Amino acid sequence: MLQLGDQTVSRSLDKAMWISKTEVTWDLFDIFVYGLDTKSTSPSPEVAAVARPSKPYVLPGRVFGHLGFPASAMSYYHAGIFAKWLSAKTGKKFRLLTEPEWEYICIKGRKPTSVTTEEGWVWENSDDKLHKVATKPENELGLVDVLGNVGEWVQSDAEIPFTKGGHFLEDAANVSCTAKWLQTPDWNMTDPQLPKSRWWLSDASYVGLRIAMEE
Amino acid sequence: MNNTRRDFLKTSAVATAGLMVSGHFAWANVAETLKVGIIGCGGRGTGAARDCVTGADGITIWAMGDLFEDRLDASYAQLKQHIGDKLQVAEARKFTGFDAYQKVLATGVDVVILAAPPGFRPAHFEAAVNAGKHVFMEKPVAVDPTGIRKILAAAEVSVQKKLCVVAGTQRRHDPKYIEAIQRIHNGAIGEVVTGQVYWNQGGLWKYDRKPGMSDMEWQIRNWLYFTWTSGDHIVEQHIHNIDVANWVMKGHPVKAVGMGGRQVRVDPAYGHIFDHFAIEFEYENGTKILSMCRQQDGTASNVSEFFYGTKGTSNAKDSIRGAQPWRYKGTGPDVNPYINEHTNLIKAIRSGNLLNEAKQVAESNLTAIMGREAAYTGALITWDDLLQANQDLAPAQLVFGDLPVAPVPHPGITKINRPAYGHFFETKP
Repeated sequence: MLQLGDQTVSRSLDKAMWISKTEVTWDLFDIFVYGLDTKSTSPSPEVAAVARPSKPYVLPGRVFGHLGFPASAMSYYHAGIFAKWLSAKTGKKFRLLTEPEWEYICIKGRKPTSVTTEEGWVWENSDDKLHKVATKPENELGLVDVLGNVGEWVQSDAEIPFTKGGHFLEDAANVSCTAKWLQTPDWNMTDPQLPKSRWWLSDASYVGLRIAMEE
Repeated sequence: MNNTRRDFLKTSAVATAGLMVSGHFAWANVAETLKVGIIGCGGRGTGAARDCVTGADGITIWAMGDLFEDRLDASYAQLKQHIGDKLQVAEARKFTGFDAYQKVLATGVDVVILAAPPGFRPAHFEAAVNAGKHVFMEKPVAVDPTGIRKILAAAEVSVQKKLCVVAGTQRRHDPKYIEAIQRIHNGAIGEVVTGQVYWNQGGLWKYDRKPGMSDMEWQIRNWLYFTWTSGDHIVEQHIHNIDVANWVMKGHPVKAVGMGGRQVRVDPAYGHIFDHFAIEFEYENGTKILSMCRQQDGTASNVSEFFYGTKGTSNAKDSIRGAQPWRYKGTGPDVNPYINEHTNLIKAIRSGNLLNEAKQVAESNLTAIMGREAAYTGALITWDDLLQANQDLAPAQLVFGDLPVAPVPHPGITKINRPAYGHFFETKP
């Protein structure tokens, strides 16, 4: 469900932070999903304490390409656990961006207008496919694909989790820094099992994530 | 399909309610409640029961059967939470054990959902048809030619008895696939020249053996990894894409050659099945379709179909390119095919317009078995030979006890008509 926020609010960050240049790709996400970090070495107690996702029956996003492509179709819960795992692995504090933080990195140096096809992968130019990350120009902060490609989970206490930034199946006109997409049942419509997976969204090839790290 | 996706987004909060008043619920008066029995109460059987009561009014889940009490109890708890009063399974209509299916069939149900591991399906389907029940059965419906013949024979009886049968090849109930393939059949890409179908992904769940557990119990709980229970992943999972190939081609292939192996997933915890296959299917008119499936962690995934014609190409789902281009617009199915298949089944039962997919799914199922046998044996496998083959992978008797794991197939040595257990090798004189 698409909602539009207030475009007049000025946004800033409270403190300096690191933000991933690209949407998180399968190169990294696979290590978490398939426990590739535990194959040859024993995990630390902190890492071992983090739950790992179930094996997905099918990943809807992965028909488009794998290494170098944005990881997709993980649930909001899954995205949060991934950040927790990455923190345990590195001893640093990784997390999803908050909505104000996300809007800041999107709007910085840019008018709060809809995305252009020069900027991001959307319905008009995606050919119905996710694209490799960083195949569109950097924004003023040096980040890529903030708008388009996968919609990006942001951290919130809202009852219904949501993504920002629009995605490759969304019309450019709808994709702006202030728009957000609340999860709807069709994101997980065709998971045929009961209970449905808490880790994977069977139909949401258009959902992914970007992560932040605090010093 | 008249709605644009933007309309869909606007209305998505009420999408479910929207469907409830759309054409899928056309009957105004539900003459009588249909009673449904579940045979096989795992995640899919439980999900199918939910989908059935979601897809039609006037449905009651009336009886449940599973080999294992813990699976039945977990399923009951899930359904109670999700479908509430539509679950009317009294304690006396909960059955466990190898004969639970017969007891479910004797409770006066009108329809049964068959969702036990695939190796059990032929016996369950045959019994359901003999008992005069309408059937929803998950794919695959058999794991060997003996099972396929049983399904085909029961399918004929089910047609004579005017029973409705829908199979879990849900792409057949997905409006996107239906429209795309209708366009292909109407000539949108000309004559189909070739195609590819894929189910490449990482590994799936496994069930870890508990201390003291019998071979039989472990194999059935860990059923994905034994040919006698699942048919191997080319049959269990890739059947979906192979079914699309047969749908587009309006028939089944007549021969297959291929290769495959067990390269990465070699731990005995994963039974004896392969982890990759690549098969070339040849149809009656000489058209060849390439099929590929893999379950290896960390490898590139692809679950799709693609067809090339003399006048264009199509993914059989949402895109046609060439002389008559077409592109589906949307982020997902407007109609959930997993629910729609139940809607269509119940509608057919109530209207008396026979809908029976048993033969169709059996043919796609045997196609998948043909691919498996081409890889297992290394031989060129023909449809006619395979259909008549004696292969019967089931254990001699179903009791909790010892059950050796058959060796991993060995192309060049393994034969189609092999013993189910003991060895795969034909003794040479």
